[in-house]
Amino acid sequence: MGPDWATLKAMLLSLLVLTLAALSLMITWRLVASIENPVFRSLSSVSAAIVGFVAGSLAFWNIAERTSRSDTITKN
Amino acid sequence: MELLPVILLETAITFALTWFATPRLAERLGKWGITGRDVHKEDKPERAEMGGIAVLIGFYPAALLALYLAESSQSTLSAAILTITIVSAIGLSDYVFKFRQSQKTFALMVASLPLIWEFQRVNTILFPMLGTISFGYFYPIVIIPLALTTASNFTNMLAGFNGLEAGAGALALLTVSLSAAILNRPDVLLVTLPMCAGWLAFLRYNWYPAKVFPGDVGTLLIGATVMTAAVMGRMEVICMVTLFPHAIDFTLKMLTRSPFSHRRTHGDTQILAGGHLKPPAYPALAHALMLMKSLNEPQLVRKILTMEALYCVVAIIITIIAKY
Repeated sequence: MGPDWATLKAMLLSLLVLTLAALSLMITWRLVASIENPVFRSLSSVSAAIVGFVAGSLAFWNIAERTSRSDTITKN
Repeated sequence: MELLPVILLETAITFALTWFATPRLAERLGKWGITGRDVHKEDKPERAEMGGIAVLIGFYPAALLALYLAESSQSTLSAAILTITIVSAIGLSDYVFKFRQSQKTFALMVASLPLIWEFQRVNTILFPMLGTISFGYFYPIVIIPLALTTASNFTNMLAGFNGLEAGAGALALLTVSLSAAILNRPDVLLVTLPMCAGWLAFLRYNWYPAKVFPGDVGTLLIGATVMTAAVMGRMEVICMVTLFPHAIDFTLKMLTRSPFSHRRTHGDTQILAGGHLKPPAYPALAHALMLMKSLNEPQLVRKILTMEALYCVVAIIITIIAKY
């Protein structure tokens, strides 16, 4: 039995979501390091993490949809 | 850890009571007509709903005993039990009154009041590798209610397949328990480990082919318990990572038009020959996995649980980084 590529793909896409969210958080945290207000600095970093997470989730869906088998989509 | 005997006793009681209560409760619920259709089977059989009550039947006596035995944790444990009670009441009421989404969101925010009261002086979140970040009054006033509402909705939306809610919930709660043990937060274990045991016992009857569904009372409860543990143990980031599959599903559904009426607009997943699933045309985590490979219900659930396990491993790694 060969490897289950669909499962591997799902796992890699899962890690993509996590990586994008973590990278957005860390990059923004470094970029806004000079801002003195800690609440503003924290909120901007967390907002960036959420944006990264949303981008990752959308990438997950788009890659799944583009590489789907032809018989699996229900057209409305 | 002086609370260890209490935690183990509480866990054993919850597991035994839930194991004993679930089939009996399912039978009663079926007789009372509290049932739902198992839409991912060809014959769409009727199954008992609101089985999450069985986990509460197991948890409450054990938690009250822990409340009596663990004197040092009475205050935080009371807040956690109260929050769990209000969330469960919302889940039960939702079955009867069919709340609108906005009403349910507001009600879940009210459920966070015991936690806000107990943790009103807390204002920081630990971000591993970045350090402790201060949110000031934002933490008790905005972040606690928002986190509880969001987490409960996460676990409420990634549902509908046999064994998924209970399996993912048990994995998330086990991870939170392990993280709490690594970070030496015994108070958290008083809530998460018994709940994990309860969901494992429930899973015995909820696994494919399910005899009982958890219902809203169960699905809301899982998210609320994880987030209560997050606040109690100051483990917000770790707990969020354990709910990442739920968060991805929630995000995909929210990014479309009229996110709460997809099933009305697009219908349910179609069942093909051999029980294979054909997803409706709207984004969701389960649908993405169905698109990648032809799957039947148990195969799909195993895939999502594998994904959940991956995030649980990441959460444990983050815990170890935070500790050292």
